[in-house]
Amino acid sequence: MKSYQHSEIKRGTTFVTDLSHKSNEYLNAKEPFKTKDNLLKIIPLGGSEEIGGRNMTVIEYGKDILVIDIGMKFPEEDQPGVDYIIPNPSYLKGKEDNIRAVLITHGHMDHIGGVSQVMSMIGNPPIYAPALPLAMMQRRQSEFTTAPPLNGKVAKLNEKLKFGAFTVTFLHINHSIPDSTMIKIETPEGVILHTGDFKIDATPIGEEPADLEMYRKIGDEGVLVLLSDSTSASRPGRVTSEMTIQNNIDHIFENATGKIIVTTFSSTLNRIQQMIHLSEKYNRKVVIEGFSMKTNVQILHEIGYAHFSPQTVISAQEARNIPSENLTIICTGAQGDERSALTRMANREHRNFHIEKGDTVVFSSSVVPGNEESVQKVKDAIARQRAHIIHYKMMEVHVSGHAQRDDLKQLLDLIRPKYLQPIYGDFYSLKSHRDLAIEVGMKKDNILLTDNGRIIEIYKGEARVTTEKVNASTMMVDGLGVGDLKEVVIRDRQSLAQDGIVTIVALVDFKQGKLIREPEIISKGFVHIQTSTKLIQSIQARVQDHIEKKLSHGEDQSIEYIQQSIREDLGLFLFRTTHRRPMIIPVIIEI
Amino acid sequence: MQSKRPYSNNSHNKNNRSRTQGKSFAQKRTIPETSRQALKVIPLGGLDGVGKNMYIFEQENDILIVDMGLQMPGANQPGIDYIIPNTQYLMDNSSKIKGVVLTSPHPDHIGAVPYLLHLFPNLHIYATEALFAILESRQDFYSQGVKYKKHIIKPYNSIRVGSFKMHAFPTPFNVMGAIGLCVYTMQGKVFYLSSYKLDSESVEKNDLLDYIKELAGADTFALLSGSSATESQGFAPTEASIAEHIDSVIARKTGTVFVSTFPSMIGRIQQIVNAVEAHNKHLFIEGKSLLNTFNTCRKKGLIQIKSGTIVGPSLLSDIPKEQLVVLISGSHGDDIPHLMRLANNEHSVFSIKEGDIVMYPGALIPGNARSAARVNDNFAKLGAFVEYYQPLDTRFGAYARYEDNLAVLKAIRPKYYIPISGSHHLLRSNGDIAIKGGYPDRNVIIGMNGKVILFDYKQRRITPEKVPTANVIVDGLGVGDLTNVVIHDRQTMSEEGILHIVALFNADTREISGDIVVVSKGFVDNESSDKLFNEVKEQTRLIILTLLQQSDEVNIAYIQDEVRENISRLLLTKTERRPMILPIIMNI
Repeated sequence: MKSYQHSEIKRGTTFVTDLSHKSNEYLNAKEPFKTKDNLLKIIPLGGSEEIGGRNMTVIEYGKDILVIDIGMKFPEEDQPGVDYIIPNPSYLKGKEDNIRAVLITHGHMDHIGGVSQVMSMIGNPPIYAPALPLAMMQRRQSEFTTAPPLNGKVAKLNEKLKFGAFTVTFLHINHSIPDSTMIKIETPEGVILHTGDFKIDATPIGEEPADLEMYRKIGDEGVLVLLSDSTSASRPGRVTSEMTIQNNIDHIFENATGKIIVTTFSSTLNRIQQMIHLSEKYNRKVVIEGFSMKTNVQILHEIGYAHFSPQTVISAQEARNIPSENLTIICTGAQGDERSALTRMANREHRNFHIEKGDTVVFSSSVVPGNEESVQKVKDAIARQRAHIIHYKMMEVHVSGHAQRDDLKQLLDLIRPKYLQPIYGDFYSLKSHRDLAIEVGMKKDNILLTDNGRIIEIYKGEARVTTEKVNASTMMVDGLGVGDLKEVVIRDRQSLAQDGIVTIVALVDFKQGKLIREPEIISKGFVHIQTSTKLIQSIQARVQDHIEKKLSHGEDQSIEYIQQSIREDLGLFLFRTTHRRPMIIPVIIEI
Repeated sequence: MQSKRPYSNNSHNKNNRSRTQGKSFAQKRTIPETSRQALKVIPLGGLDGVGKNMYIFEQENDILIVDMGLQMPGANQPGIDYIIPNTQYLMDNSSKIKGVVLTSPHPDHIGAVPYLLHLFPNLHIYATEALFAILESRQDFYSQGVKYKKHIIKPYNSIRVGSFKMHAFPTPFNVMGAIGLCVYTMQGKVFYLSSYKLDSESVEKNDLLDYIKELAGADTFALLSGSSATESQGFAPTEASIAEHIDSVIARKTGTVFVSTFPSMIGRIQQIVNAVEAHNKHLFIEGKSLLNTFNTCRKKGLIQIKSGTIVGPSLLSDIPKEQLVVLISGSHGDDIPHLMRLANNEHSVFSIKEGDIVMYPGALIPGNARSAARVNDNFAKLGAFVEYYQPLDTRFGAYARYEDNLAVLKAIRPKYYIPISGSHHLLRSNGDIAIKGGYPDRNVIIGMNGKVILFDYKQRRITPEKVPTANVIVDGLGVGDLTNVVIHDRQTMSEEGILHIVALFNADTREISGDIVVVSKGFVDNESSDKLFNEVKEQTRLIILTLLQQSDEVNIAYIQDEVRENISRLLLTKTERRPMILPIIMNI
C-alpha cells in the first residue's frame, strides 16, 4: 500500500491518481465493428476530458477527413514553465492527402491557437472559417515566420460546401465573439452537428439572437450525433442574457464620475464592442490598452465588423487632453497578470494612465481557476488608489459564453439527436451533460462519453465508443521547442519547485581508493547556504564518510553505483533532519 | 463641539472628547510623546489576505495578544508548508506579554500557536473549552511538546489579562467555540469581531446584535471587524439553511454517503450527526484527528450523539450501504488523506460504488483549483455523485457578508472603524460601508501588517513606526529558516530547470583536466540533447581556456560568472529558455 507523507499531501500537485487505465470501464467502451465497409469515425484529438483548450476533432469516412478546430491551451499548475499546449496530430500522419479541409467554428484561442504549429504538420490543407476567425488566424500566422501561409477560405453562413463524402454548413450560434458558428456535416451515415462553443441568448448585444426555429428544423430533418459544448454543464439554470449585463454596466457608466476602466478577456469582442457603445452614449472616448486586445479590435475594423464611430477609439496620446469623466479605458489584465496594462496602471507604472481616486474599475470577467491570488493582488493595488472596484460577485457584469444546464436541455429538445457526444470539459462536466440528457429522456447508451484519442465508430446508424485509441498525448510548446518537453522534464521542474536541489561534486582517485579533497556541496532552493553552515558541514562529512567507506570496501566501485548510493543515503538523512526532499545530484569525477 | 456619530439614533453622546484639541495636535505635525493612556493596536498579520490573524493590544507595560493564525502559501511560494506571523516585536517586548486570547478554532486564528509557544513558553492562553478541545487534539500540538497556562473562558463572562479587562461573548459562526471580544482599554471600549456572522436573514431579534448593542452603549471607541466576505452581498448563509442542505444530501438512499469536513468544524459535525440520526442511518468516522476531536468533544458534552449511531470497524460489514454515512478526513490536518485515497481508488476499507454520494468542500489543497477538479473527475469516473458544498470548508459561506458587517457596525457605532482579516481591497470595501454611512475618512482605519496604530489623547494615527513583519515560513521541520532567496531559486528552477556544468582545471599547466560534465534537471531531456550539451561543453572549454591564459592570477569566481553569462546567452538563442545555470569550476 502506498503511504503518503504529510508534507507530500499538502504540497503535492500530482498525487491525484490518473484513473485513465480504467477508461474502457468507465466510458463503457466496446469492441470496434468488425467490417471491411467504410464507416464513420469521430476522433477527439483534444478537448475531451480536459478543461479549456486545444480543441481538435477529426471526422473520417473512408478516404475523406475533416478536422474541426485546432486550439491551444495554457499549461496547468503542475506543468511549470511550459508556454502552451497544442493537440498532437500524429494520427493524421500519412493521411495528409485525405484531409479535405480544416473547419474553424470561431476565433477563440482554444479553437485556433494551435493552427500555426499544427497546419504544417498535417500538410497545410485548405482551412475554412468565418471572416473574423480567418482574419485572426492570418494575423497570428504572420507572427510565426517559419509557418507557411494559410490556404484560407471564408465560410459563409448557411452555404453548403462539398468535401468528398461530406456536405458542410456553417450556422449561426451565440457565443462571446462575433462570427461564432456551429457546423452541420452531412455524412453517408447521417447528420453530425458540432456546436463549437455556444450559448442561447434571446437578447444578445451586437449579434442575432439564437435561431431556435432553425435548430428545430435541423432536428426535424434528423440528427445522428450532436457534439455539444459541456463547459458549463454542471452549472444550473440558464446563462444570463447579455442585455442584463449591458443594463448593469449602463448603470455604472451613468453614475461614474472619473475614468472608467473595464478589464475583460482580449477575445470577448462582443463585450468590448458593448463597452465602446456605452462610451459613445455617455460621451466618453475609448482607449484600448493591451497588445492582443488592440490587435483584435483592429481586425474588427479591417473586416468591417466594428459597429462604432472610428472617432470614438483614440490613442493614448490623444487621450492626454481628455478629462477623466470623458474617458473609458478597455484593457487586458483581468487575471492579474503582472505585466498587463491594468496592473501597471494600478501601480502607477503605466506610461499614459494611472488609476486614481474616483475612478471606477469594472472586472467584466471571471477568475480563471488558479489566478485567484494574482487577481486579489491587482484588486489590492487598485483599492490603494481609492478607486471603486466592481466585479462579478458584487453585480452581474460578466457572463460566460457557454450554455448552462437548462440551455443544454433546450438544445437537446430542439435537435432531438439519436446520439449525444458531450465535448469540451473534464469528465465531471461531460458526465453532468450526460445526466441532464438522461433527465430529458435520452437513453444512457445513446450518450457517447469519450476521452481524447478514442475512436467513436458509426456503422449502419449505430454508434460505438470503441476500445481503440489513437495517440492524443499533449505537445508542449516551450520557447522554440515544440513537443520536445517530456514528462520527465516536467516532473523534475515540479520537484525542484518543491524542495530545491543539492549538488555534490566529489573528485575521486579510484586507483588509490580515496577522495582527492572534501566534496563540494551546492544547494539551490533547499536551504540558504550562508545561514545553514552546520547542515552543509554535516552533509559534507556524511558524503565524505560514505564515499570513503564505499571505496575501502573495494567491491563494486563504478561511478554510477557510488552516485546512486549517495543519493539514497543523503536523501534519507536530509528527510530525517529537515523533513524536506530536495533533488540530490551527485557528480563523481574520476581523476 | 459635540460630534454626532453616524448611525446614532440618540442625540445624547457621552463621548465628550473635543475635536479641536485633536486638531491642534494634528496641525503641529510632530510626533508627540505617547501619554500614559496611549493604546497601540498592532496587526502582526491578517491584513494581507486570508490567514495568519494576530493582533497586539498594548498599553503601558501590558501586551495582550489576540489570535495566532497561520496562512497557507500562495502559488508563487512553491514547496512551503505555511506562513506564520513575525513575532520579532513580541520577542523584543516579551516581558510585557500578559497573555493571548484565541477567538476562533480554525488554523487562520490558532494555527501558529504550536510554533509560537516554542518562542514564548508558559504563555497564558485564554479560550473557550471547545477551542481548547480542538487545539489540543491537533497532532502538531502534541508533537511539538509545548507548555502553556490554560485559562478557560466562559461565554458572557469577563476576564482580565494584565490591565485589560474584557467581555467574551460567543459569535454565531460555522463552529462552536468562536468568540467576540469587548476589551476595556484606557482609551475606551474596543470590540474585536474577526469571525462572526449574524446567522439570520434579518437584523430583527438577533441575539448577537442585541447583546453587543447593549454592551457597546454610545461610547465605544473602536471596532475591529472581519472583512473576508464583505464583498458578497446580503447576509451570510444561516446555519439552519446549511443544516437543511446537509440533511437533504444525507437523506439520499442511492448508496453510501461520504461527507468530508475539518476537525475544527464541531458545529458542522453536529449537524451531520443530527441528519444521520434523523434518517436512521449509521455514522462511521475515518481519520485520526477527526476521531480525536470528535471523541474529546463528545466526552466534554460538546457534541451530542446517541449511543447506537456511531459504528466501529467491526460492524461496518453488517450495515447496508444506503444506511451508512462516512465522515471522512480531507487533506488538512495531519491525517492520512482518506478522501484523496478514496478518489484514487486506493482506500484500504472503502471503495466508491455506483450511486455513492461524496459531499466535500471543494478545494482540498489550498490554491490548487485544478487538482480539485481532478478529484471531482475521479469521483465521477468511479460512479459517485459529487456534491461540492463550500460551507463544509472553514472559510466559505461562514464569514460576515456586507449586511452582517453593516448591522454590527450600526449596533456598536464605534468612533473608529478598523476592518481586519482580509487583503487590502477587502479592508477597503469593508471600510467603505462605514464611509457610505457617514463616517469621516479619518475615522476609518485601513491598516497594514506591522504598522502601529496609535490612539493617544484625543486623536489617532497610523504611526510611521513599523514592527517587523517579514514572513516566517514553516517548511518541513524548519521554522523561519527559508529565506526569500531560497523561494526565489525554487521558482526559477520550476520555470525552466537547472543546468550544472562541472569543469576541472590545473592552474599550473593552465589546462582543463578531464571531461566537462553537464547535468540538467527540468531543462531539456538529457538523453536527446547531446548536441546542445556538446555545444555547451565546447563553449565552456573555450571560455575557461581563454581566461586561464589571459592573466596570471586565476579568479575562479570570475570564470564562473563568465561561464554563466555566456552559456545563458547561448541557451536563450538556441532554446528560448532560461534555466538556472550552476557552473562548478575547480582547480585541482
